[in-house]
Amino acid sequence: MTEGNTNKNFLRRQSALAHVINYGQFGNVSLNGPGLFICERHPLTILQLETAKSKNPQTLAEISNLLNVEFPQTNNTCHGDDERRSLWLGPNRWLIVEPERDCLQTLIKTKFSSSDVFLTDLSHGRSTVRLKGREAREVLMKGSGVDWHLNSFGTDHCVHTKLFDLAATVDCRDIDVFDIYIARGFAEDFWDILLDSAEEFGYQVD
Amino acid sequence: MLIINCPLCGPRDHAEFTYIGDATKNRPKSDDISNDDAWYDYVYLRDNPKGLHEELWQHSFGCRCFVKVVRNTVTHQIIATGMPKEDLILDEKGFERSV
Amino acid sequence: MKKGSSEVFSFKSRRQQRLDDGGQINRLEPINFTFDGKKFTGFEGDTLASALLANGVRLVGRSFKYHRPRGIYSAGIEEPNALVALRSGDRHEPNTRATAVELFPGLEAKSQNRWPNLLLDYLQINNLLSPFLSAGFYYKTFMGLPGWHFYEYFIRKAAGMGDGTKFKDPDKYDKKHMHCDILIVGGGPTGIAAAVTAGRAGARVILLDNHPTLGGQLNGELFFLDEKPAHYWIEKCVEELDDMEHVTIATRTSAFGYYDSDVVNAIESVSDHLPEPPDYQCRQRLWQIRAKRVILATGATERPLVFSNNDRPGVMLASAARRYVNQYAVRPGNKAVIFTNNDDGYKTAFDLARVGIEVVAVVDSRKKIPEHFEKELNEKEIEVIPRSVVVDTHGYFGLNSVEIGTLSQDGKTIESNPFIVSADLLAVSGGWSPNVHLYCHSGGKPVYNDAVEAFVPGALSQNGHSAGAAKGSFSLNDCLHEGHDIASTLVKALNFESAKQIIPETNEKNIVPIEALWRVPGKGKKFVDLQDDVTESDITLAHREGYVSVEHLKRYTTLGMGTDQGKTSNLNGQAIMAQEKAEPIEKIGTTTFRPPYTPITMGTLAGRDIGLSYKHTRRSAMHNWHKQNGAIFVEAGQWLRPQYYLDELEQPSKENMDTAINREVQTVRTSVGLVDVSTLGKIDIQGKDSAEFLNRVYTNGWTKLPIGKARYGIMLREDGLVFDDGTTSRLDECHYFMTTTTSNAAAVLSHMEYYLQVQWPDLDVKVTSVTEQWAAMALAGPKSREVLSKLLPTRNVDNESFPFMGVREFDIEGVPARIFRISFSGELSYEINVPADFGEFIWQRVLEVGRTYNIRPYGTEAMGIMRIEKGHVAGPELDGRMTAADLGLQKLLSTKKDFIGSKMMDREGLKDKNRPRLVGLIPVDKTSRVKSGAILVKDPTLAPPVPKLGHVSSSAYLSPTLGHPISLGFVSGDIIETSKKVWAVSPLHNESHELEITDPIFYDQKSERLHD
Repeated sequence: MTEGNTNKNFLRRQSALAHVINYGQFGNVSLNGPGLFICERHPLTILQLETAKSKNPQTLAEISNLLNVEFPQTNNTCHGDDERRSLWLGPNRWLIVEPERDCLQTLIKTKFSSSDVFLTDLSHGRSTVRLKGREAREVLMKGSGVDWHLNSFGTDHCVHTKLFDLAATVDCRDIDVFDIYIARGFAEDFWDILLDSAEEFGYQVD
Repeated sequence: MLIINCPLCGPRDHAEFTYIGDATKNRPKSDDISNDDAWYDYVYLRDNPKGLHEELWQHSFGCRCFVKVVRNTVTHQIIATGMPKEDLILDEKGFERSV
Repeated sequence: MKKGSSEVFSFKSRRQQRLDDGGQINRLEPINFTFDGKKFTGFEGDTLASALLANGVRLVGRSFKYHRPRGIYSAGIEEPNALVALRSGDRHEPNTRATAVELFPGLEAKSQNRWPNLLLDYLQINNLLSPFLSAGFYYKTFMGLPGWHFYEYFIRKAAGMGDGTKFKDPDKYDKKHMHCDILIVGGGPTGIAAAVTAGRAGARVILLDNHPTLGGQLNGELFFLDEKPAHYWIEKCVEELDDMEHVTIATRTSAFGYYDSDVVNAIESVSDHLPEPPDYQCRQRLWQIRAKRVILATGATERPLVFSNNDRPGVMLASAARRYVNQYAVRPGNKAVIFTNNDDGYKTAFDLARVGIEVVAVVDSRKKIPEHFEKELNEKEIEVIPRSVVVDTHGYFGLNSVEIGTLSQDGKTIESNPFIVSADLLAVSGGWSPNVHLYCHSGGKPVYNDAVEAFVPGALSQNGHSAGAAKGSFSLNDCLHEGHDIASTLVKALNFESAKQIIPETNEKNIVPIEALWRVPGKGKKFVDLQDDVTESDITLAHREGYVSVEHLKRYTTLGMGTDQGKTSNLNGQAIMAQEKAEPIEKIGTTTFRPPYTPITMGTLAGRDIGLSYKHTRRSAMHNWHKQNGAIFVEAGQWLRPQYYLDELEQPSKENMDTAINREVQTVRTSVGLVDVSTLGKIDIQGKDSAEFLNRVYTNGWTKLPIGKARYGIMLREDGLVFDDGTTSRLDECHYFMTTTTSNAAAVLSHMEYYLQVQWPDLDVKVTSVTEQWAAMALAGPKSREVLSKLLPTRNVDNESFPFMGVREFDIEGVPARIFRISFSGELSYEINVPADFGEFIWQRVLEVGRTYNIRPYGTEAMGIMRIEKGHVAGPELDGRMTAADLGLQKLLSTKKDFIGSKMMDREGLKDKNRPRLVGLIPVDKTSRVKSGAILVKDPTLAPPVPKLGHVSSSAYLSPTLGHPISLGFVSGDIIETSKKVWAVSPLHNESHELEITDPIFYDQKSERLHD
């Protein structure tokens, strides 16, 4: 899946999965169709935002207004939509994710002091895979000991965990839609394991 | 396997955590008059208690926070978890099991 | 009853033993299978054991040590005898229990431990020799003699189990992590009752059972619940549970271990009941279940009785005999004797008689016989012989008669002359032992209960609550109520509204207590552990020789050490030892049960983590380019890095490793090269206290580092030894960029987080790993500046504008790049960092632009050689044992500030002048390849122990620049002062080389090449 983009670098930004993705339906696809739909979200802007301990208490609210996205104060939750999303990463630490457009970093930096707000661009450091479908939770259950049950991991929840032995952030976008962020260097390995786990349910790569 | 209750992320497998060490050791203050014994104790001396032990773990695959864990070295039961500077209450109740 | 008559057992004429109707088999679905190559037919719903019995096959194996003929002994996972090899080729699996194998079309089974075949087994000579083959025989006889290794081969062959396969397992194995409020292990009456109550309360429930259907013991019995056969109740409950979304029923799933934090592991046999796994499906799946509460409804296992020749085919557990009749509609024999010390034998007698099997007698060792069975006994004309025992049995390949005698008052002798009755089935019941295994895994200590003569769960350890037969409550009524009650208590504890369940009425008789009978007097072989061929006399021998602790008894006799882990034998063995010691059983105790409860495949434990997935592979952004351009990769931790590139101008390449590396080094030294250094750890540091923080973690000073400059630094651990090195650059007032060694990247980040979070929370500093964000490449060589200026035609990159240790942010064809003028190779060099998605593009652009200068990519080998030439320390030198002075870096130790390690680094031992310190080493003959790791000594001809003077840390087998091999190493200070030469020895390789000690910097000692 290619996210909307007008940036001049767009054609040269090469995903870590560029060489391995095969599109189509694979595995045990039943009459009900594939149990899973898998795609890469690329290119994205992924920006880590941290606030200083000594920050002006208004700062976060102001950035929130500027970007029109809330920064969740509850652990392991998210806000926003595909156009701009913020994920809780840890105390005073969030991840802002959006399809690559204008330079988000510059936008924030021009308005806020670098001693109050710390930005770290991780756009290229993460590969993002979207897992969708009725068997998505079953596949997550194969990879991590987190309780993936709807009652404990619903829409707008996120976790940072060990998924198939790799550090991963999983964002529940909808009941059966999950965005998985993985370190770029492991993307190929992760992709292979994910597809292998999905085989029994049948999957479609978009 | 142990399940450690991260104060921020909730119960997670111990595989998400990295064991750091004994949480009862305090780093001597830098402005102390150089006290060799205090440093020696901080760097090298470790008790091997039978029973409750305060340990420091890092939730490296999660929020990356350091977590204080009170664990029973005999049963492996984790009695309490908290942030590193938190004083965790360690009464005998920790051993009791409500059904 | 006909006394003394004996029917000659004929092995060859097999008689069909299937009943015309009844049972839970599907007669419409016949299934063909083979056993030892012979064709047989069974039905859907059969186990391999029931199908064999139905076909009149009684002899299925030879015993472990004496090679005695053995038959099917049980009807479940506790089976000690009927071990067969299943399938063939790469799916061949030895030691499966015929009683637990579901029949599938084309099933291929072979008997084991016999040669050449089951009837004619040459090694049965062991049985004739058996008076000599007591516990410890082999070790006592052969160990210590010369040539144990020679004997061992034959001994192992003579006593053994099935052979494994050497082929690669073709099947996939899966893993699954589960959570629930209440996990119920065991789908018998207790488990079902518990599941209904917990499910109705709304709790998330997982109910596990290792059989294909729920029901447990009910499937083998003819119980009525609310005046209807029990299966009506089971079906009604299963239907209700199936409708509950929060309840998961997992059949063919066997819980094998109870671990800390109430984690229970189970194996789901996804495809074991099929000829082979369906497409895309795994064979087995490991379930790791995290439960808030666990109900252990694991049931109980019937015990054998210990008497002479109690192992013949045809001797069977009483409950198994009636299960074959009731569940599988198979006659396990035609003429039966029941031998019991509890009520269980009577149930078997009635169920066998019901289907027309002649029940010759119930031999009950108890003095008091249950009166309430009298009516039915009379109806079915079954004779009961009280206070009696089976003294011996006869029939070589299968039972044909049993000897019955009366027990004396003290139970130690037989009073009268025994009489012989003919029988081909002897159903025995020595009472029931609760399956306390999982309870014990959880940390619980079982206690002995005299009323049921068995160990039952004691105090609660974790949250695993035993109920029903697993707790020693053997009546159906108790099981149902306990299941409901415990579930009710647990759901309340978890804050659910408890739910009601009306427990059905049972048609059970009252139970008359068991009277323990641990062994019957007599002379023949009395087997305690059938699988390991451990006899009563082995146990008395162990006692005589002092192996009286249960743990010693187990190891000395191998009692309970087979694949069944003594499920049927442990208590009998322990009780006999207790009698020998004249102590109560609870004082003897039990051995420790450890997971797994039943044998499990290694494949399931490994899951997907095999082959290349055994360890995750990390690839740089340029990986694909390397792959397509002749790179030979090497593993560096998780990373795959190009070790060197084979020149592909000619196909196939004329280069080998040595020539390629040589060429790469020379290219960099004379012109320009490009190396992928993306693997270096990169950490982004921000915040107003960043400089202060760096001052504390590094040994040198950081407050004066200007923006746009990089600085080399080393970090110590608290103990004063060197932890890691790297450069850190100041990008902005409060923004730094740190690099670490590849291998310490994660450790350095965690180290800094620790100090920021735990020790110095007052510092306002944030650290984030950006290793993956940046693709990094070092452009190195005298022509590197020319390549860079071509890459940046509009920028000035001369020595003044972009000096050594300078950091600049440039735009390379629209790509934002951070360029660091730092050098690892000793040449003029620029480390170009670009966002990773541009890595391959920029890498290719640099090579294109550099083509006029003959630029070539180079790998880790060339990089390593150049850093050795330059005397730069790396991983092999930073081995965690070195002080800064050992590495020649003492000038980096600031005296003006405190830093991590500063308090401990000045200890006497660390300041010792004679500590080994970094030197260069050159083989005196200028050709020898010295292995890194070689030990340095004064004289290699001396007999050990020889004082160690140091070691070789890194070796370049050839420095292309110098024309001979060079090494870095550490040599004791006093040796450096007094002698010019030292010997490197590598005894493992039988090598020794004389080395000359030199300065560690072999190349460009004044570093002129870096600065201009």
